[in-house]
Amino acid sequence: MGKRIAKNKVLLIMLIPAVVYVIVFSYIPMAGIVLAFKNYRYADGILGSPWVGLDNFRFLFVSNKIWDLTKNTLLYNIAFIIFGMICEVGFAIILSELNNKIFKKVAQGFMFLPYFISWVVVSTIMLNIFGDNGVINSVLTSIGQEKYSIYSNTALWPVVMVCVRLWKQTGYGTVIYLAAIAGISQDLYEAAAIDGANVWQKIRYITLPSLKPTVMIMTLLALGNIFRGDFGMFYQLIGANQLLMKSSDILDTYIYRLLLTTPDVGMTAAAGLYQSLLCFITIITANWIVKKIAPDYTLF
Amino acid sequence: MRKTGKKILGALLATSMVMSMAGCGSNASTANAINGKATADGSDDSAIAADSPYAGKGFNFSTKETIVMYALGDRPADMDAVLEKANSEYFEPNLNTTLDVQFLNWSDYQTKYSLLLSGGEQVDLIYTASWCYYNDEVAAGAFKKLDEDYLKTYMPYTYEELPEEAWKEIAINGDIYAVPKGKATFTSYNGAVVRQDLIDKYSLTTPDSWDNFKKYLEELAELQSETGVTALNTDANREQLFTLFCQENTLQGVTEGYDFLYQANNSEKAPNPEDIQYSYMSDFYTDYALQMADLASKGVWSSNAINDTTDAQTYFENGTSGALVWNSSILTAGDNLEKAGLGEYKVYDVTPNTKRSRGAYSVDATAIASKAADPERAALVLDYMKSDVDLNRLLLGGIEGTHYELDEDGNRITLDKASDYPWNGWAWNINRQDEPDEAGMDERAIEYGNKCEEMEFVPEQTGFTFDPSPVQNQYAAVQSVVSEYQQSFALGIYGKDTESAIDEFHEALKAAGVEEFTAEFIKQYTEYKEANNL
Repeated sequence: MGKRIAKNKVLLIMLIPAVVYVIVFSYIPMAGIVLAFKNYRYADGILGSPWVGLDNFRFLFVSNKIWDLTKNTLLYNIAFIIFGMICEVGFAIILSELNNKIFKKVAQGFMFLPYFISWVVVSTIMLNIFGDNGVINSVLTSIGQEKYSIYSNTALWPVVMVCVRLWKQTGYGTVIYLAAIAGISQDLYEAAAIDGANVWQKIRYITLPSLKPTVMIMTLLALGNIFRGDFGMFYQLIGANQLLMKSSDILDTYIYRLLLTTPDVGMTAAAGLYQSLLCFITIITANWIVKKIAPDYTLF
Repeated sequence: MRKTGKKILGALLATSMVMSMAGCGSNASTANAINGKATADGSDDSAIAADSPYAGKGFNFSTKETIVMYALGDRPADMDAVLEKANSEYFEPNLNTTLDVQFLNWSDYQTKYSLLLSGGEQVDLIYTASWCYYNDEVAAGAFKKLDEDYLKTYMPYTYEELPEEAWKEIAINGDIYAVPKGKATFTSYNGAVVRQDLIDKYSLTTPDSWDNFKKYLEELAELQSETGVTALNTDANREQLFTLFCQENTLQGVTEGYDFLYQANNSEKAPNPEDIQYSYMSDFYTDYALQMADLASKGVWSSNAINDTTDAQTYFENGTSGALVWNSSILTAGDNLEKAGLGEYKVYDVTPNTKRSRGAYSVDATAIASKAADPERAALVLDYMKSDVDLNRLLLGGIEGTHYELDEDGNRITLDKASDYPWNGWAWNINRQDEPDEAGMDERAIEYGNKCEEMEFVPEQTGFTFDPSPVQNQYAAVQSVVSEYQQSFALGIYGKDTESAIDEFHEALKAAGVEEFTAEFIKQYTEYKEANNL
């Protein structure tokens, strides 16, 4: 043991910042979980506050909303993961096959740009395009058509949300897959070219299989957060519109609204623990399944 | 090897968890002397001026301390200059203390407020109110309990000056946890500011009653393409018409902060328990929701107002709204409209026959944080701020001669620099009964104020407070349902489906436990009513 430590001294030193970071920001706060089972009072401190058993969790279940919320969160995230992956991989392959360097850089830049726009701004842009006095309605009224508001059309919102999400996030994911494609050995493509493979065959038999590990890892990482909604996105785009909330209220926005009206540390901790537990179960299960079918690609 | 590694990791985790718990537990001690003697220990006046109002009262001023006070709002540009004057002329010579005021912005106080009290920052005094987490934070033990002896000892002047009902209103089950402001105004009574220039130009209905006000809005909505003005340009953060609707129906809240109503019919008598209804379950609310849906369908406000977050007052001030309904701040909005040269305003009392109650003293108060290192010194600072007229005015309105001056009648005149330290910009929780009025007030404002005084109304049950802790889960769940639907009904987004939406809302409220919640409220109210022979 001591010998191995001495041997890998430099590597271990390099590891220290990451370990310290994880301990300070992930493991130490974990002790706060006790709050989910306590009626927290400032004066008594965390350890001194009285235990209340599972009382803090009851509020999640009294209104029966928790199942709808969990379902919304889950389905939205599944849609984001699947469509996101298809778009990201697709665009990464298209970009990598492009020969015009300038166009490639410009296209990549424009794809990446929405990633830097905050959701607050996105919601304003949406309002100015789709709103009552937005671009679309101005055009519609000028050609003598009825006004149309997507803000009162509930059924459309899951599609709207996925589209907006893709518009904003695809550029970022594409970069990761582009890097993975750049890492594929050129020898493979040259050999395929000599054998007479066309572009589609190269993509089908070389690029896609080589991307498999990256896709697996990215998906597994995304699965770990599948019960955590993108708060900023839902909070900004949906706001207080109850019509849209029916299909687009997620755990995070619900808990936020709830605790804004009745700030209670114990209940917040309970809600957070509920989410974390679901995420934990998902990632363990997903990893277990991957281990069975493709053991090389597991996270741990 | 792998096994040892895991053991080491396990041990590390265990240690870190134990360490973190220990860190959390150790703040329980109440010892408050950081570097010397605390104010409560013995008498030592050597560090303060001999003519200090607190000299010879048995306090220990030997250590110099800094008291941090948190207020709501934006930091005025001249805050530093005012604080420097307050410290050098008042706090340092007379209390051997330095005051520091920090601000929680309107945009994020909701998220920061609780964190501030639970976190490690120094907080000695903090703004609180029935609408600003007072009940919740008291339940969490964030504020120091102030019993009568404590108040008499450490807030001697304020204890004498504040009216008895102020203390009654702030008490929860008889215990006081914050010090209310000294002047109660009609902040909870709403009126409407409208565009008089448009009324004159298009000879619209004069909005002098609820029905006429609605007619005015509808007429204006029909003219929207011509005027470019939305009748009531509003947003998702302000519920403008509910208070007005309650006034029209003489619906009165039983207590601040909880949505229980009864129809008072202008009588000050405390309501019978069976006449109290949970606002959102009442037929009145259904009626309100239907009226709002009707207004929405007539285009009185934009159909996507629900997704809009621009403040409604801004809309009135920039001339794109035909009305604004709120408390006396509508006068400011009208003033700003005229200053910008965009139109002419007039304020209307839409419910002239309804009596109106003063906002409770408890709508603005200051609490001493239970984590304050020296709560006694903080109490003295608060007492001094509230009781010394000159110091109070300095904090409220800045430096006399720079930010404001008083005319011979004792009214205050706004000076050019006032925008850098507006009167009542943040310190409205420490204002006094003798706060000077603004000189040369617009006659429309004076008229509005006089009308309020004339129609004053003090319900008998003022002083009753509700403790939600026995039904905490139901309360939290009910609140979440309300917050989900409230704005959508207020902006009438369901249109023809409003009635079925109301049914769905009621079902959701029942599922959340509104019945237990209401029963508990009625129970506590009945007990209070009987105990006080109302």
